[in-house]
Amino acid sequence: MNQIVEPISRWQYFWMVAISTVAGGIYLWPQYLVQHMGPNGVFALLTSVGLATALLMLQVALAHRLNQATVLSGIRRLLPVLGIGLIFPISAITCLFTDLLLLVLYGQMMHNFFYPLTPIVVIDGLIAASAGWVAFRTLSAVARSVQFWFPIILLLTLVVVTFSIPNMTHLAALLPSSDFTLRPWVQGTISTWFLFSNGSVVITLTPHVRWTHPRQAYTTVAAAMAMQASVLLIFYVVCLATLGAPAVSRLWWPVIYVFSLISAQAFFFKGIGVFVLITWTSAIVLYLAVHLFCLSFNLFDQMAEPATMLTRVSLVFGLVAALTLGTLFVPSELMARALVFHWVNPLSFSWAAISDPGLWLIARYRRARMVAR
Amino acid sequence: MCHLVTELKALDTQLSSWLESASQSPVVPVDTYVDDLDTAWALLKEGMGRNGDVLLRKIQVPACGQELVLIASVDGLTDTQMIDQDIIRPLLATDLPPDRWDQGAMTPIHISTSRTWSDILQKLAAGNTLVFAPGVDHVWIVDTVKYPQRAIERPQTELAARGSEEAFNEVLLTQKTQIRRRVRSPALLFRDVSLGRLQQITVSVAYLESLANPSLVATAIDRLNAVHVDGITEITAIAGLIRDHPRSIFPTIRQTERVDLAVWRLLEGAVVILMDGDPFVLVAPAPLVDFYRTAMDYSSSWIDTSFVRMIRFIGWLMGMYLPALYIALAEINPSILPSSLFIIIQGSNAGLAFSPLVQVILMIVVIETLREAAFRLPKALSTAISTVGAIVVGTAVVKAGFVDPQIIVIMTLTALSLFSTPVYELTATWRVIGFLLTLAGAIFGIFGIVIVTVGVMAVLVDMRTFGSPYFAPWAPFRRPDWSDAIWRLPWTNLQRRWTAARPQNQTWRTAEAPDLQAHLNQAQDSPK
Amino acid sequence: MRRSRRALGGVLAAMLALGLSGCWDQFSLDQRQTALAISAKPGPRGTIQWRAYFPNPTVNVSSLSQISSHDQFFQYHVEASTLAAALQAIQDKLANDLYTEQLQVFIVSPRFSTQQLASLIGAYNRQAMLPKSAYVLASATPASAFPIKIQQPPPTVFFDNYFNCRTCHPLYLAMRAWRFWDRLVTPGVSPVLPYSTSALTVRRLLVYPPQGLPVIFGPKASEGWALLTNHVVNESLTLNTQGDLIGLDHIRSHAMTQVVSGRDGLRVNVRIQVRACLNQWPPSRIPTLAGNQAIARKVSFYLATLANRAIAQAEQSHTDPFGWQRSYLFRHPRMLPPTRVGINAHLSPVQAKVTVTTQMTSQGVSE
Repeated sequence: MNQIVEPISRWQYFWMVAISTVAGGIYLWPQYLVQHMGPNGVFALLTSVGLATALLMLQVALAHRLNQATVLSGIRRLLPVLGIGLIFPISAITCLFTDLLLLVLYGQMMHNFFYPLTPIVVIDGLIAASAGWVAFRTLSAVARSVQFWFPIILLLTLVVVTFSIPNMTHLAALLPSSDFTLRPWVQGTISTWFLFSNGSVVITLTPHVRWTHPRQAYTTVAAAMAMQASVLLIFYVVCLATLGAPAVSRLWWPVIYVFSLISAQAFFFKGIGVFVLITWTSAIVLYLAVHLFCLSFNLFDQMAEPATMLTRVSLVFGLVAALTLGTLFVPSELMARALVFHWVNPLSFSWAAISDPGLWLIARYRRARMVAR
Repeated sequence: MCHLVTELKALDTQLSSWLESASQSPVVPVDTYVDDLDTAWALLKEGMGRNGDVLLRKIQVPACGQELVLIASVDGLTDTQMIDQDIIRPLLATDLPPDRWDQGAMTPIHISTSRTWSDILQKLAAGNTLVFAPGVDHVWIVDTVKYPQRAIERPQTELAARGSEEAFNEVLLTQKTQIRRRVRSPALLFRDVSLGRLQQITVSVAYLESLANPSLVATAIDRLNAVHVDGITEITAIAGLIRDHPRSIFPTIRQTERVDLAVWRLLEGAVVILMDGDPFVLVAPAPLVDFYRTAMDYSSSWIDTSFVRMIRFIGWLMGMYLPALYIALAEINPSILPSSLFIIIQGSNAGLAFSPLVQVILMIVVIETLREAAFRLPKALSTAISTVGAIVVGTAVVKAGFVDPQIIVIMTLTALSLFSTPVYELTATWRVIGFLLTLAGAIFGIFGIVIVTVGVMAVLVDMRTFGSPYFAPWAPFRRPDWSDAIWRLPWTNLQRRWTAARPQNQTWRTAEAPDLQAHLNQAQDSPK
Repeated sequence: MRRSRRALGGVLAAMLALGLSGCWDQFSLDQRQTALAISAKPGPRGTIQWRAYFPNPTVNVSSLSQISSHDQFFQYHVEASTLAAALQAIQDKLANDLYTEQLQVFIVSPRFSTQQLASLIGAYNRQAMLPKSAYVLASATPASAFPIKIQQPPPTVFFDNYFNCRTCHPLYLAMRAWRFWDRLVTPGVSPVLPYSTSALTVRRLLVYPPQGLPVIFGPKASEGWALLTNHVVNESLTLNTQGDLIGLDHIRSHAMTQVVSGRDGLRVNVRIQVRACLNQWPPSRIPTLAGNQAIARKVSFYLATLANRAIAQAEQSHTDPFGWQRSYLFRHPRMLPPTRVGINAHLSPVQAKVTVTTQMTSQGVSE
């Protein structure tokens, strides 16, 4: 076990938390939100970010309370039967299923925009395998990969956004509408939950960080969420100011569409699509890698001795194979979208809203009882 | 038949001498030297003495009465003048008893004793002179080693426009002297390790005791001790046996022939491993960034160094990605190119039989063959080969319709960029990865290039070099090391040592030198 | 450990084999036939006549001077009802892959109605392999004589260079495919297209009403539209005052628009600031401050007339090519009656007030 985990730094934790939340599905942003809320989407964005941050804070608190190497061992200790038999499997399956659908949709996007003749399963398989290649290593290696790539991804994104400024002519589209209704707001908030499906990354990694003070965990998670929220907000602004809400709601990949319109003739790039390819692909690879690492680490921790490197590699690449094969069972983009927006998002949101506070309360209750004894 | 008889006789003599030696005391091990000159003579004569260059001489020493003294040495390895003047002549004049000859009879400073034959013979083979005296149960070993050695020359592989031009040579002692001459500190230590069951070559670990991390030194020595080979002739082989990730294509230990570079690394807290017989030394730890720090970087101005390092980085990018990008953009993702460029590329390729990928591979083979030919041939011929190659590649290949002129440009730039890598062993690594990227670009375009890059980076960030992360200061991010990584800040801004070696003291330069400040104050106070 | 490495090696080998067996999207350079321009005009029996223009495959820098202008491009003509069918039909005629990602210009006939064009542009926008940054324009020139063989050597076509030169022409009327599609699907704005006449000048606009054929804005109305929408980039103007000719050039304008809802529809207040360079006046006149101000007032009046003409024509044709209603609807989407949601649907009549102020400058080397 010690081979896999050695403590990481606070900043590495920051990057890992950040990439594990938004990076996987950002290419779908903000179509569904705008479709339901129009220019008021920003309210739903703020609400979902606030909710996600609150739940992640609870996860940090839970991690501090459990004080176990993995979330699985913590839950096992807290709820021996229910934890192993129900809570962890549901969390893991929800996370895997969300990842699967995001992978399918990403493959579809790549197929549509850049590789019309390449089978989607090949694209998905390569991405999943690359994620596995990163994920079967030690925690510090995964953290370093993320720490190396994520700033580059953000920098390139910033460059692309800067190039798109001349196209942003509809600033009026950003002003919130006077027609605010509750139902679209709730719908918009829940429909973007796939971005915040964290895959127990926070709760798994928090015990393995070199904190100087436990409070740092909270501030780091909050900072990571603030950064990702600002990225979402920037993309939201770029899309709406370029096309306006009616056009954005009709596009399936608004961000990719908007960025494909940019050309930087001074640098001999007609389509800035190349940057999108670089940033989005590396982002989804790292997003999946962090999720795969945490999931496999939790499972690996519970395996009977002797758990060797081969076991770990098999576990990670088994998950990779499951993801790749799973993409074959999602026949169309329409179905993937329907599953994400109508099923997985509400389920994942509900589960997070129940399990995170529930576990925290149980942990707190147990602690209080122990102290009372 | 005659030969067999001779061999049997020799064997018989050797066995007899062993038996004689063993019969004197039943508890004495066979390997132990016993005070018997005839036995020693026989053993030497039938062992190493069969070589023509082993000199055995018996002399009559007045202090030993009628008994003889046996002197053994290896011709060529020993300083015969020293034997004559510092050993034989004083012995002939001394009246000291043989067990006190080191106190006045023999004048060389290095005199030791040995009681085991294996050690005695090893010392003889190493160039020492053996003095077998009657009445003492040990052999005197006098260091009369004389090394035939090259003069100290200019470095051949790590050239610099200015700065020191001193390279190591093959002799360990000279190597040590070269370092000592530059580090006049008692903290400089050399820990010798003998390698090779047969060869017994000396390898030395140099470090500054007050600076180098003890665990780093221990790791280096432990790894050297763990090398169990019969013999070894190249320090590259040692590097391959002691480095982290021995199968990796990335070098995780640095080799240098420059004395200044080795000393600079010692001052950074690293360890330097020297080997007798190889003019290159190893430096550990060696993170990737270290391979891009050349000696000239520290003898040029900071702006020049920073600019050159940036150029190196751009060169690396070009060398790695240019062919891959060309193929990816031409064949898979041309939408990224401006129309004019794409159609000109198309027009340039019209009528050519080979696809860009094949053309690139063809050019790689041509360039590598030319490089190898130019490297192997004598200098005069290699110039001619280069010229012929340039003409063939530059004009004939294009005219023959094998290769597109644009690919000639791309591949020339690639080759120039790759060969601008400061350290030779890294050039091969990048060439392999560049080829992998080209293949990925040809199959999956930009997507493939991204996937391979992420994969290679995942490996790089997972690697270590003697306990330090290989890809620092990028990942893990180490801010202090950035002052001397992609750029080099002015000397006044460099105050800390690199973190890679985890030195005991991080401060390389104090912001205000107290002595200097005191001196300045004193100068101000003194009457004019 | 050794087994794990073997397993990893196996996975990698399998991936490599899979990758090598594919190269699905790989086309060698000579396998792609690059379409640089596509034109469409209504044909008989409800079909559309399409033409695709390709550069000569042997065009390169050194051969350019040796190829006559007639041989620099070649074209294919097909008849099909939809864009997809047209692309398929063109592909059928080619030995190589029809490559459309470098398309520079999409030329449509002014005889397409709004619905027909919306359908075409919608299809264009859905096709991921057609670049959304290509220019769309309407041309009265018969498609058979489409002007790609003059002025510009391949691989660029005339209109691509024409529109890429942002400040070369008096009015910047370029419309990219994505922007046109955006206007089509956004309520409160009427899509406009630059309209090229047979002389290849682009000084007119086609404005698409919700229904029917487009309305042609003449040169003056088009200039008025450009003034109101910040598209005047390098205009020149000649004024005749009492028989004297006064010349102005380098005219640029900046319009600031305020849209408010009133009882009887939207009220729009547009303030246009114009900078013009006075470069010619009668030799008998000595330029004075008062004289300059008088000229500026005349310029302002003239430009306001142009702007009002554009507004009047828009009002007459029930269109809003300026997007005033769009900016209002962005904030008040409920103001759009459900029955009018659709292609460039817009609200009620607009009451616009235009104020033009002109600032005269001089760039000459003498008074």
